[in-house]
Formats: sequence, C-alpha cells, structure tokens
Amino acid sequence: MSITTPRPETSGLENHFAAWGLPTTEKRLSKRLSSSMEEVRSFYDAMLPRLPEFIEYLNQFPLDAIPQEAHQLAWASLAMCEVDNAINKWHHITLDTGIDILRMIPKTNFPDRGQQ
Amino acid sequence: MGKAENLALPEIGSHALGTGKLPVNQYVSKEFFELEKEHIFRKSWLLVGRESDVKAPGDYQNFMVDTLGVSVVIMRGKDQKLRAFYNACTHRGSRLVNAATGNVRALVCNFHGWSFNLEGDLINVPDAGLFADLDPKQEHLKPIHLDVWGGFIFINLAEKPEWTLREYLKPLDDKFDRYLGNKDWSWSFGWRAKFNANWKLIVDAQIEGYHVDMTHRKTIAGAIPGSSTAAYYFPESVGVPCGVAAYRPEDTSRGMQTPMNLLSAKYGATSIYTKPEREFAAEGGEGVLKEDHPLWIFDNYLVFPNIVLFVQKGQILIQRTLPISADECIWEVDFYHTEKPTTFGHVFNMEQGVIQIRDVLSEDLYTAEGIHANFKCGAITHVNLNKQEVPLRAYYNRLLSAIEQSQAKEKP
Repeated sequence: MSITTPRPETSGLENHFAAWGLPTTEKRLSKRLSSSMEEVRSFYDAMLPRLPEFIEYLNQFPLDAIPQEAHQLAWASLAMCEVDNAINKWHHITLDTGIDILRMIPKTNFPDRGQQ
Repeated sequence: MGKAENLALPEIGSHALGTGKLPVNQYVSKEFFELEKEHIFRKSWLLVGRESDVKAPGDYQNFMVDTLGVSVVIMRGKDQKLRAFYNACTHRGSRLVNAATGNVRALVCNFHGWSFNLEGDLINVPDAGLFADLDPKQEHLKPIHLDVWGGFIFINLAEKPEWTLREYLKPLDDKFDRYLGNKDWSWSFGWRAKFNANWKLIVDAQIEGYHVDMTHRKTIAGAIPGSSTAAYYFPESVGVPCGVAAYRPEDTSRGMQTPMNLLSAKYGATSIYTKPEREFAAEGGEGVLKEDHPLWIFDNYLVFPNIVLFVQKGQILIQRTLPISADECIWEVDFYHTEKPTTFGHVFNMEQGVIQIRDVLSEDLYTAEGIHANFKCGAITHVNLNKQEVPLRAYYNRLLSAIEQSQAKEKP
C-alpha cells in the first residue's frame, strides 16, 4: 500500500480533537453523555465536511502503521459515529425510548459473563 | 447475488396456530418457573460456548446455569475431544475452577488436592491410604452430555437426552452446521445486561417483526419496514419452533440514511441497516443464505429455549437469555464476522455498525421490565397476538409441550 495522500490540514479543529479524540468507544460514549447538545452539534458540524478526507488519509495505512500523531484524528473521526443518532435522529443527547445505554456492559469475548 | 426481478417477499405470518389471546401466567408464576427449571433447562440442549474458545488441550470454559446453581466445566482433552463435567470435586463437592476460562494441566481441587486429568479421571489423592476403600475409577468427574454444531458447544443436563443435538435442531441441517462452523468466524463484539423481567420477555422481543416500525422509530424504522419481516414457524421441530426474516424495502429511499451511514457504507458492510457498497465476505452458505433475493438481510431462528440465532452473509449473532429467577434474567449478545478490519475505513464502518446495533438493541430491551411489572401486578392477564406474531404462539406452544412431554416421561 503506497502512502500518497498527505495529512489533511486540521487547523481550527484542535479543541474538538482534544475533547473527542478518545481511544475507546466507551470513552466516546461517556463524552457524548456528558456533553450538551450545543457541544455535540459544534463538533459534528466542524468535522462533517472534513470527514471523508480524514478517512481517506487514514485508510491508506495498514491499521498498525497509522502514525502516532494521527491517532487523535482517527479517534475523533470514530466519535462522529457516536454522535450520529443524537444529531440526525434524536435531536437530543440520549435516546428516550431505549434502556440506559450504560446498562449494556461490553463483553471481551464470548465466554465473558462478568463476575461469576 | 440477487435477481432484481424476484422481489416477492414471504408471507408475513399465519393464523395457523390460532387467533385467541394467550395467558401470561408463564411469565410470572413461581410454580411455572420451577417447571421450567426441571423440564426445560435440565432437559433441553443449551448453547454454552464456541468451540474455537476451547482450542488446546487443557483449555476450559466454566459455564453457569445460574438458576439451577449448576456450574459446568467444558474441557478440551489431551485426545482433542471436548467434554463437559459438573464443576464438582467427587471428594466433598468443592468447585474445581472459579475463573470463566483458563488452561490447566489437570483439575486440582483447592480443598484437599484431589486431582483429575483433562478427561475427568481421578489421578491423584493426597495420602490415599487414609481412605478405607476408595476406588478411583468410581470417582470420575460427573459427566454432562456435550455436542458441537455450527462451531457452537451445546450441553444437555439430562441423564439421557431425549434427542440428539442434530434431531433437536431440525430444520437447521448440515448446511447450517457447515456455514456456522466455518473456521473463519471470529468474535467481534458483544454486550450483556441484567433485567428485572422474566427471561422469555427478552426472547419475545426478538422473534416478531410487528414491533419494528414503532419500537425502532428513532433508529432504523423504514430501513427494515415491519412489512418486510416475515414470520416462520416450524411445527415439526423440537428445538427450533420459529424465526423471523428481514428484508430491505423495495423503495431504497425509505429509512433515514444519515451522512455517517452513507460514508461508512463505502468501507464495509457491518451495519445491517445500510445497503453496503461492499458486500460482507463469507465462504459457503448455500442452502442457508437467501442470496437469490436481492433484498434479503437475515433470518433468525429461536433455538429453544433461550437463544435467538441471526444468520446472514458474513455476520452471525447470538442473543442468549438465561434466567436467574422468574423475575430476573441475564441477556447477552455476541457478534461474529469472517473478516477482521485491516484498514481504518473498515474500522470506521465497524464502529458505525456497532453503535447502530447497540442503539437498536437498547430499544428492543426497553419494554421487558414494564411488561413484566404489568403481568406481575395483574394489570394484564392475557395478550393479543396477530399473525405476524405467530412465532410467539409457536414459542408458547413449545414451552407447554416440552414440559408436558417431560412430565409424562417421569410418570411411573
């Protein structure tokens, strides 16, 4: 795989990357749950037009060779998945017709049943 | 690949199992729950694990059937054979393992040090001369019936199971065994949660399509219209009474495709609610996948009593619900894929898929506790079921017939 796309210009997005560039789905979920709708909207609107080029840039690396300095960019891009429904479907931070999402404990493998 | 001219969907359901209301006693009665424990959970084939999680000799999995207090050790022997034993030392009954998984050279009891090999034979007793007439051959760990189908490990706690696993799972035949048993499947993600509701209410929510338009109105409504979710029931089957199929709408503009859905669809197929630009990859599937239908997404099957198995191309998922008591249960879901992401685009696609399904499941799980409370307080004594909900009738009928058959066998 050849690396042909240079790192996109990201000036102006630093604050969003710092806030949302979190390494796990669970941390990004917590970030959404503790944010206001205005904060989520501001992140989404700033990222959306740039997202296709961010993904194209990151997509050119083998997964284990994404440069260290691009990790926050990658995680902030994934955070866009976390805020999608809040912005586009619920117009609210949480879904009011589902169980509290924190009741769903992520498993680590098939046999994982937590405390036995 | 699909043939565009073939857009006819299966019949949405049937009144073949009747049209009357069903009682709700079986969800809240402690007496009924005792019958379920004895005649369902001690007699049915129960899905407890995945063969690939117990790969090398000495690898074990410890599975709890909480409500029976039964702890099962599933062990890979030196001879590569899988066996299941009660997790109980034959000296004085202590548990042999406490971790959920592990690898051991032998099962050594922490109480007095009795040791059992991977095949369950008693191989060492400290100061054996202290016992008067101990015959180690009689002190083998108590075995439990085990079989593997589709790469999944099933156990049966009956002394002598009424059916072989293959008889039990009909109409899921060898073609399903081959597809689901494909070595390329690997576990991707899953969740578990505890509910203050009868275990069957969680199952019920997964085996009819009538709920889709309303329950999922804030996520996927339209992308899988309720009218595209046909009900199956299998009157001849012992262990697979029913199921549901899901198809995309003929009108692809239905359902809200957000910019994120459309972007993620370029890089993979993990989200089942978005027509992917890339197809899921999976070998085989002939006779299992309905790929000649251009709109088909998945079929699910109720594997009685507590598993809903979703089968599609390149993705399988298992929902398991185990009771703790009549009023409490643990639900789990596990996803398997044949491809591991190798690029960020695929990771992004997967993240979108994981979050979408997580939110959809949170909707499916939303009603059970309220329903349970309404049944328990007597506000509701009967429920209404339409023909699209025929799988719930099939499930109910199987529940009663399984108990009746087991009780009849036990009569002298």
